[in-house]
Amino acid sequence: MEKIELLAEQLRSADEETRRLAVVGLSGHPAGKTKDILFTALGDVSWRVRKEAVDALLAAEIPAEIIEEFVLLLESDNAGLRNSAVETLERLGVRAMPVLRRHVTDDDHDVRKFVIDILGSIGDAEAVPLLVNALDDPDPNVCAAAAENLGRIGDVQAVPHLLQALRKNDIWLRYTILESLSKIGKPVPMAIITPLVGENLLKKAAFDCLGAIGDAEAAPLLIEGIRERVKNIREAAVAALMKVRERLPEAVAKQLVDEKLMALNGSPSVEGLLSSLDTADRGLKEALLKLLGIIGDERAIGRLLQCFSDDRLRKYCLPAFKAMGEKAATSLIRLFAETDEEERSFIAYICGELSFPGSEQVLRDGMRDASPLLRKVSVKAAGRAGLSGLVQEIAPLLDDAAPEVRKGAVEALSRLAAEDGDAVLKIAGRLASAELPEKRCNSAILFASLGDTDKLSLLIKDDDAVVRKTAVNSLAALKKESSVGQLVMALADEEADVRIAAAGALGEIGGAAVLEPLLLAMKDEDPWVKCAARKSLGKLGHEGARQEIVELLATGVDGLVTISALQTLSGIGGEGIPELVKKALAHPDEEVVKAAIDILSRQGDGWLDEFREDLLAHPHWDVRRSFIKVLAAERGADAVPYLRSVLDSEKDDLVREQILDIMDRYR
Amino acid sequence: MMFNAEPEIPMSEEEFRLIRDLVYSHSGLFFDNDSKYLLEKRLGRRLSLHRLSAFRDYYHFLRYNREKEQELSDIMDILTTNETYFFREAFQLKAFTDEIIPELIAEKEKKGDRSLRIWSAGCSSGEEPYTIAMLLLEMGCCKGWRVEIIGTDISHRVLQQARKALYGKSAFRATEETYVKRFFQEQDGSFRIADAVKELVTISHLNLFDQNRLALLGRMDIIFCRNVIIYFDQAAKKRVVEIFNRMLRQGGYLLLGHSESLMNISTAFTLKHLKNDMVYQKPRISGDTP
Repeated sequence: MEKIELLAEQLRSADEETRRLAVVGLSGHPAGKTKDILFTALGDVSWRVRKEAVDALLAAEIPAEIIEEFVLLLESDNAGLRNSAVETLERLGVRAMPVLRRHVTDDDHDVRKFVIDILGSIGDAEAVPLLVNALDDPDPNVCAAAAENLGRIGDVQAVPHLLQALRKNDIWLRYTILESLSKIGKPVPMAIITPLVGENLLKKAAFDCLGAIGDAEAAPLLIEGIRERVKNIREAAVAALMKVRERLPEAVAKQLVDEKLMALNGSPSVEGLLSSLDTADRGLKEALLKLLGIIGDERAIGRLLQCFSDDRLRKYCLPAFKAMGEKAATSLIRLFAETDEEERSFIAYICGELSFPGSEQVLRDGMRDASPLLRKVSVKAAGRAGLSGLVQEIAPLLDDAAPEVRKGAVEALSRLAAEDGDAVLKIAGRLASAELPEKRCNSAILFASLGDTDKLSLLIKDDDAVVRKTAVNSLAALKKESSVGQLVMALADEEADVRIAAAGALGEIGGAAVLEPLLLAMKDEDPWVKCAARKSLGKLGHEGARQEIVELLATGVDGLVTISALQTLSGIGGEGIPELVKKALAHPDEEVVKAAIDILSRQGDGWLDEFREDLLAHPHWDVRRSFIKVLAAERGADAVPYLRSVLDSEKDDLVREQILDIMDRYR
Repeated sequence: MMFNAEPEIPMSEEEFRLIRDLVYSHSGLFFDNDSKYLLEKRLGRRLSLHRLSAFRDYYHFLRYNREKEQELSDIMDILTTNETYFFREAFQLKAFTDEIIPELIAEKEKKGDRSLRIWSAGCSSGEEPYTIAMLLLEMGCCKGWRVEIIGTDISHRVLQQARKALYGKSAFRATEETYVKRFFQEQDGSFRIADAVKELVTISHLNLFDQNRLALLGRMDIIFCRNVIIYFDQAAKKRVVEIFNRMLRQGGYLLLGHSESLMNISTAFTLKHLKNDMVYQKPRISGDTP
C-alpha cells in the first residue's frame, strides 16, 4: 500500500491520536494528492485532527480551484468542517480574496454571512465596496455582519455608507453601525448621533460612539448620562465623557465639563459612580477616578485609597485627594492609625506629595515603624514635603538595616539641605569620616546638595574608587570652575570608572582649562575614557579633536564610539564633516544611522532626496521611522507622495501608523 | 516590596519596541504590546540605578555599555520573576493529588516501575516544586518510590532563593496551617522548609531553549509549566511545547497556568477533563505501551 493510502486508512481509525498523526504524515505532500483526504479530516470529530488538517493544507501550495472548494464547505451541516473552512480561508488572507469576492453575493445567506466575516478578519481595504453593498442585503444578519466588519476593517470610506444605513429601521443594525463608527473613529455630525441617545436600546452604543468621535457638543448629553439609573449606560456615559474631555482645550473642558461635574458634589449620583469602581474594566476605572477627582466628593476617600494599590490608577487618585483638600487630609490621617502596612505607606506617600497639614506627625510615626516599606516611603515623603523639622529624625535612618531606607534618607536630606543647611552639613560631616564607603558616598551626595566643593575635593582623594567616582559626579553637577584642577587629577586615577566620570565632568564644566586635559584623555588606554573625553570635547566644540576623530571613523570602530565621534564632529563642525556624517547613513549599526539622521536633520534638508529611497527601505523599522519623521517635518505635505509610495510595502505596524497619521494630517 | 514610590519615567512606543526586540534576540523571551507597562515598570528601576533619565539611554546602555552582558543577565531576573506562593491554583493541585498521581502510580505499579519524575519548568523561587513535594509527602503514596522533582528557571537570582528555601509570610497566603507546622521551621520571622521536602527537590538553572542542557533532564511523567509560556511569542511557545512533548512519557501530563492554553500552539496533547480541572495529556499511541 502506498504511503498516502496507508495514511488515509489510518484516518479512519477510532483512535484520535492515530488520526492526528495520519494528518501530520500527509503534510508536505502535493495538495492535489491529499486534498480529498484532508478535506475529510477538516470535518473530523476531534478538534486536534481538524486543526492539524488546516495546518497541513496551508503548508502546501493551494491552487485557486481548491480555494473555491473551501467556500463550498461553508454550506456544510458539519459545524467543525465549517469552522475549519473559515479558519483556512482567513489564514489564506488576500490570496482568498478573488474567490470570496464571487461569493459575497452567494445564494445562501449563511454563506454570505460567513464570507463577510472572513473578509472582515482578513482586513483588506479592498473588501470595503463589497461590504458596503452588503449593507443592503435582504437578510438582516448579513447586513449587520457587513456593518460590523466595516468597523473591523476601519476604513474611513465606509463612514458615509454606514450613516446612510443608520436610517434603516433595524435596531440591531443601527446598534452595530454605532459600534463600527466608534471603531473607525472619524468624526461625524453630532446631529446624526444625538437623537439616538433618546432610544433606550441604542443609548449605550450612542454614548460609546460619542466617546469615540464626539466633541464639545456631546458634553451636556454625557453629563446628563451620568445620572442614568441603568448601570452599564451610566458607565458608558462616564467613559465617553472623559474621552471627550481629553480632546477639548483645557479652558473649554473646565467650563463645559468640570464646573458641571463639581455641582454633583454631595449628590446621590456619586454613590452610583462609587458602586461602579468594582469594575474589572481598567479604562472605565480610570475614567471613574478622573471623574471623582473632578467632583471632589469626600465619600470617595476610602475607595480612592483602595485604588491606590494599583500603580496605574495612582496618578488619578492623587488629584482627587488634592481636590478634596482638608477633608481628605483629616480622613487619611485618621485612617493612618487604623489601617494595614500597605495603606499606611500610601497615606505617607500622599502626605509627601500633597503636603497636607498634620503630615509631619504621620511621617514621624512612619519613619519609626517596624515596616521597612513604611520607613522608606515616610522618609522620602518628608523630603518631598520639605519638612525640615524632621531632619534629626531622618538622620538615624542613614544607619537603617534596609538599604532602600538608607537611600531614602539620603534623598530626603539632599532635598532638605536648602531648608536647614547647617543640620545637613553636620550630618554630612559625620558621614565623611565613617568607616563604610557607602556612608562616605552618601556624604558626597549631601555635600553636593549643599554646594560644598571643598568637602568634595577631599572625598575625591578617598581610598575607595566608588567614593571617588561619586565625588567626581557630584562636582560635575555643581559645575564650578574651581573644581577643574581636582577633576583633572581624577583623569589620572587608576580606576577607569573614575576617569570616565572625570572626563564627563570636565565636559559639563567647560572653559579653556579643560581642553588640554581632555585631549590627553583621548589617548587613555581605556576606550570608554576616550569615548567620554571625545563626547566632552564635542560638547565644547573643540577643533583639536577633529582630526583624530576623522581618523578614528576611518578605522571602522563599533557603534557607540562611532555615534559619539559623529556627535563630537557635528559639535565641532567644519569642512568635510557633513560628508562623513552622510557616509554613516550606510553604517551596519542602525543606532549609528539614526544618530547620523539626527545630526543631518539639524543641517537643513539638502541631503533628504539623495538618501530618501534607501532610508525609506532601510531594513530596520526605527531607522525608517526616524527618517519619515524628519522627511515630514522638513517637507510637510510634499512628503506625502513618497510616504504613500511605500505604504503598501511597509509591514511594520508602528511605521504604518506613523505614515497614516502624517497622510491624515495633510489630507 | 510591592509599593514603589519612585517617580515614573515613561517609555515611548519606540523605546518599548527597541528594548523588547533586544531582550528577544538575547533570550527568546517575547513581550507583546500589552506588556509595555510591565517593561516600563520593571526596568524603570534600572534607570534610576544607572542614573539614566530616559529609556533610549537605557537601550544604548544595553547595546553598548561594557557591563551590558551583566545587565542583560540581571534584567532576565527582573523580567521573568513573577510573584508566586505555595499551593497556588488549588483546583489544579487537587487534580494532581486526587486524579493524576493515583492514575500514574497505578499504571506504573502494574509495570513494576516505581519511579516518578516531575519537572517544574520556570520554578521561580521554588514554591511550586516544594509544594509538589509537600503534597506527595502528605499523600504518603510514594513510600518506596524513587521520586524526583526538578525545579528549573532561567533566573539565577530566584534559583538562589529556591535553594535557600527561606520564605516570608506572603508565600503562605494559600497554605493551610497544617502544612506550615509539618514542613517548615520558623527562623527570624521567616520560614525554612524541612529537609524531608528539600530532599525530593533538585533546583537547577535552565534556559528552555538550551537543547544540550534539556537533554540532561531525561523523560518526565508530569511537567508543571505555569505562567511561563506567557513570556514567549507564538513561535517560541510552539518550540517550548514541542520540547515538553518530547520530554514527556506517553500518557504523561502537562499542567499549564489557569489562563494558558495550547490553542493555536499545538495539537500534540489531548485536553483531559478531570473532576477538578482540565489538563493536557500526551496521548498514548494505540498499540504502544507507555
